[in-house]
Amino acid sequence: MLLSLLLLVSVLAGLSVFLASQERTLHRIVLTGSTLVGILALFVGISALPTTPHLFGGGWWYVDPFAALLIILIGFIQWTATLTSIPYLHEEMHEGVVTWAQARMYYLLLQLFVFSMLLTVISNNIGLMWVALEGTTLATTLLVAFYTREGSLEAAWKYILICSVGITLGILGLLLVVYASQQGGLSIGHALTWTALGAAASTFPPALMRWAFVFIFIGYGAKVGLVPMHTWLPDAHGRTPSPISAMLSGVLLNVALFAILRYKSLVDASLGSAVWTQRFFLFFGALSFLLPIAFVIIQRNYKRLLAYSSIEHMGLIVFAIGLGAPGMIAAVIHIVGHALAKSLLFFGTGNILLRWKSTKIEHVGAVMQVLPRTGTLFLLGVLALLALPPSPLFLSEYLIVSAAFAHHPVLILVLLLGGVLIFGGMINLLMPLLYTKREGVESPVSSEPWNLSHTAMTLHVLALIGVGVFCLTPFARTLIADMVSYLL
Amino acid sequence: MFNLPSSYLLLNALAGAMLLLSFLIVGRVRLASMLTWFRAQSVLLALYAFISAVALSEKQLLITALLTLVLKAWFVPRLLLRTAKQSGATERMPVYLRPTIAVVLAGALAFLAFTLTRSLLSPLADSYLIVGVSISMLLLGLFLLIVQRGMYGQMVGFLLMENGIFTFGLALTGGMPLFVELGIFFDVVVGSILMAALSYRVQAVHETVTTDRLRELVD
Repeated sequence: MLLSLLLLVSVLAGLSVFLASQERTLHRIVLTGSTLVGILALFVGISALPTTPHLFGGGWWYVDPFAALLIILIGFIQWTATLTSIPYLHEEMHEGVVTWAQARMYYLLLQLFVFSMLLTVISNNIGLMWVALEGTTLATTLLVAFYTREGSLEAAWKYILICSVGITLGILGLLLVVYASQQGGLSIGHALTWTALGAAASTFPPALMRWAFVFIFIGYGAKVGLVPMHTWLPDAHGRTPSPISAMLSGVLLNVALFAILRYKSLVDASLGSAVWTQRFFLFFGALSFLLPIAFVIIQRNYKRLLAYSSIEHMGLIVFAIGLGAPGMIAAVIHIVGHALAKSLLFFGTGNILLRWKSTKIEHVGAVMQVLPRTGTLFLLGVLALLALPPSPLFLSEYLIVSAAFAHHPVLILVLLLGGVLIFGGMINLLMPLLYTKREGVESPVSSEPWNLSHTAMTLHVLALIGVGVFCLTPFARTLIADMVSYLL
Repeated sequence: MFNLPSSYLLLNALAGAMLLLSFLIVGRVRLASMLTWFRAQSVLLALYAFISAVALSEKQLLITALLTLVLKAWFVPRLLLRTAKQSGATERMPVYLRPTIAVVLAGALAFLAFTLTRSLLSPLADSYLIVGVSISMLLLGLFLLIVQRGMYGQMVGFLLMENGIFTFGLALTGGMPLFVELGIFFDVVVGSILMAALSYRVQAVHETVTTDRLRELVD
């Protein structure tokens, strides 16, 4: 009931933009809608977090604790992204870069994007989940092409084409799963649900399930941004308005990963062991962690830098999942930490971009001096992303390393070396951005008034510290261990 | 899967014709003729869904057939042609390969598709031919996506892939529940509209729709 209400509210929050006739009312309506979605999502998510998987809404919705966690993340980050969008779009409209109609379209698409992510996460029907996941691509394509500049169109084209082709391969996998379930004795009308498939998965023919998983992993993996299907990601995340980049990098990648995990447990049940699927996760995870290093180090564009860092973090998460239960606990913590830290940083890039009008690192300098509030919060985000305690990423990376040492000592040493390179690369690029006064770069000196984007960023910093401390408690340990046990 | 021997024969004939049409699509250089063959293929796909509906006595497949006819044989191709005309894109599709070489490679891909199918189904199974054809369509669609330099050509590749997936679903599982089918149609149509809109804007900015000009975003 509450879940259906949540979906309804998010659609209404999107459509309500048409009630507004001027900027002030638009922002009031948008903020109200987003706050309602946020409150509902937090309520639904937190109440479903410490329970066993449940069916809701007459069997249409299926929420396990991991799905509940994603609902919380979607609910929270869509709210902070809306908070950030308000001053961002205000400034862009003031400067005449964005028209009134575009601003309305922006908020409409934002909520449709939230709606399709929520639908993906809670659908019990695998077909509906597929439709919703493709819906996330469609809702965000016009946001990627939001600025009608050359690069934005290129990014949007790559985005829609690669993700749609990926997801089309995904449906091939889906159909093979359905076929396998028919071989296992399920009838199509009633057995297209996760619950029915999960209960019968051990009777599905393994050969078919293997084929299905290959297509699912390649297809949905493109949406997770796994190397070598990642080429669209730096473009799309780099060109989108910053608050949307935050949601693409922070939340959407995890939603796509969630879909793969659901299929993984079916395939594992059919094969009788997780070893076969884990090999995929280990290989593509390590590849996606290592390849972006080169692009991080040579990067000259700070938004693309963050986008490559997202590929690398998703790689680490996927790698951790390949390590089995202990790794998956780390992966869950890493997902939360990365989502909060990365979206915080993208919020910060919005303010930097508005001030310097460029995403090139060499065109920006002394952010700390010009935008002291944004700069400080951005710095905290960088430190959190680089896994300095009490960031949750410190705990998760520690857990990944200790889980991997037993079985893959050489591989984890290579990854650690890569981690050092990324650490150095990020510091090397971002610290001058924050502190160095560059010659020839105009640093406008004026005070930076506190606005909603700073509130959003502060909330993310507090959430990061809160999650980091919370994860150390015994209660959190059992909570996450339970969550992972339903994913296996 | 089907008990009626006459419908079985007819389905295999349809499958053969759909494969032939895929080759014709790959071998064309003008958007209008590519789309003509694509329309013909969609009509056959609709017919296939219709026959399945009768043979399996599944009423909802009739809706699938109708939607395929309306959306894939009429609406989407028409949308593409109109956008191409209005934006003043060139008639001839820029391709990386000569049409003859493309068709030869397409033949090799179809062979690969049937090799794949053999690992999935026994060649004696009723649906062997149609599943093989559907995977061929999928691979040929991917092939078009790679060799076509223009946005419209790439869109045709994507649509051919979609037709392949639809055929595959029909042949293997006898179709999805109605609301899922509707959702998939919705996604395909919205996706096509978005792609058409993007190519229109690119034409306006660059005065060409070859993706050669889309080379700004590289590291």
